[in-house]
Amino acid sequence: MNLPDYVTKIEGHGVLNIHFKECRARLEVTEGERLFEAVLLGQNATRAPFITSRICGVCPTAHNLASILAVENALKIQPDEIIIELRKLMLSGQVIFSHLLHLFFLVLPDYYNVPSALKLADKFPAEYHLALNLKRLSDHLLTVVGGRPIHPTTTTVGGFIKYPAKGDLVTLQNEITDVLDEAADFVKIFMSIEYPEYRRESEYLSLKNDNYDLLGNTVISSSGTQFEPKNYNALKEEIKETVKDYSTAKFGSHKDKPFNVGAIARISLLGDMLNPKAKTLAGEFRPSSQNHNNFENIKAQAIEMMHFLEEAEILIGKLLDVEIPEKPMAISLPKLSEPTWGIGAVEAPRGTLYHAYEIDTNGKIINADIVTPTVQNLTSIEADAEALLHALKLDQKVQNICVIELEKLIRAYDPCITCSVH
Amino acid sequence: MDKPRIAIFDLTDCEGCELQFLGLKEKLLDFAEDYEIASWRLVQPHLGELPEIDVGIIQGTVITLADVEQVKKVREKAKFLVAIGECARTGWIPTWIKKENREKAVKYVYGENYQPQAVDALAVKSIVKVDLELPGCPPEPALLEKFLNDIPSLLAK
Repeated sequence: MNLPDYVTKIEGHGVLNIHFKECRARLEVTEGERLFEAVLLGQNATRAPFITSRICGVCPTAHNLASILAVENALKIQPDEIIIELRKLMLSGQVIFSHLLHLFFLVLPDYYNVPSALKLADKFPAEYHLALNLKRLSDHLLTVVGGRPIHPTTTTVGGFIKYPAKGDLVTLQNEITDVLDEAADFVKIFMSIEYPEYRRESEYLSLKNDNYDLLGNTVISSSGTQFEPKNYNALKEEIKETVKDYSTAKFGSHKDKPFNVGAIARISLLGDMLNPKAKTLAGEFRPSSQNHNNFENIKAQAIEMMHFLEEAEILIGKLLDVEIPEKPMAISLPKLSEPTWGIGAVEAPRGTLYHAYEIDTNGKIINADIVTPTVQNLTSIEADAEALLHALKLDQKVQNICVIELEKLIRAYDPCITCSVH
Repeated sequence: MDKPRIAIFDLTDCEGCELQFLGLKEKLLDFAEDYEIASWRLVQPHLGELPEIDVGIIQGTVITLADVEQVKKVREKAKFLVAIGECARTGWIPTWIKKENREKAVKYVYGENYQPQAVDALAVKSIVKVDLELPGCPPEPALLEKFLNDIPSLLAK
């Protein structure tokens, strides 16, 4: 049985193809090829962040910063503390912005039995009010630091072309403080929902740093192994992308097996470093790759909403303690003596995002490779769909129910099909 | 007069333009009261065959044959057709690869034995007549708000 049309309420175009008799599911991605990696060829590397943020309207800040980090890595540019903290602040805002969109507009209608988020307002005015306040806050944060919520304007290779004014940071900090109690109520909605039950073994991967702050030089795995993604050969050795004849998105694997990235992996691997309020809300909740159920990604996203609100508060506190120059220092970009690979990795809302560029001695991109979180998750989406099909104890009569539950499962991944076909 | 019936469509794109509607927050709810939303894939399930609509809002680049069909269908059903954002207006970044270089670009990204879905990268107006264009990558929410407010007068013309 095919679902005749697009799986609605996800970012991008995908069709779920279910073979009930064989208990097999295929996610056919039908988004047109956009060929961003080919678009980058021959471009001056400093233009890459502008171009690549346009891969995705939901996580443009993550692409923009991963792109900047890739160019800086090739040119061996070391940004200062202020720049690093502003970037972490932007990424915190990015995660809040994206998780909120997913949780409220795409997930909640599934469990509150309303057809669309626009209809939630009538039945659940309090929740709607909460969501809009959090939306206002994340839009404001991304505007203060990045210039605007979608496709940042203040960032550049080497740092920023404009720093936020301290007055705006103070306002922002007050807004975060004001919204924390409401945000806790928002998180609790998703912690108390009963989700479909199934389990399988998977593997979780995430960048690791001293803090739970979306940057890091090492990728750690629930299997206990780790690797350094800034070595391009190591990255390609670890994360493989396979082209399928039924999908315009490639399918990722780690050591030839499906794996998971994103909130569920981060909470599982980095949960000890959650900020206090997020830790309290999480309680005993800690996803396990051995007993993977991807509906737990929804809870993990909810916990991360609180964690990154607290993180943003902490980062703003640090920035208010230091002197922020009125004008960022001009950076002269060094010339490369030979073609050089640079790799930028960040934790995007949906998981680890890699931008890898080879830059020649004229500063032009001669090779580009972008590995998005959704591509890494696609193989697991199919594996989970099949595990859920088994758990639902198939019966011809309940096919329609299966389809609904499978659509919910796909949405729980928060797949960004748009990113996956970049 | 009945509520104007509007619908929002995305072709091949980043979806940033339609997210800007969510940036209208409370005002979006008011618009959802004032207008009937016949189709919006991002936030609501399919409501069956697309009915006749007053305003069709299209974002994204025309890249696949499905995109071409979609644009033609919307033009057929809509009294007034709006292209929002640079992708719908000009084709934007995907057009930076010229048609004659697409095959090479596809091979670079997907390898030798891959059959692409995409045929070209085009603006909406290269396929059908467009009644209004709203520029920006993405358009500012204020611009979208003004347009939504103007719908009754646009339809009265």
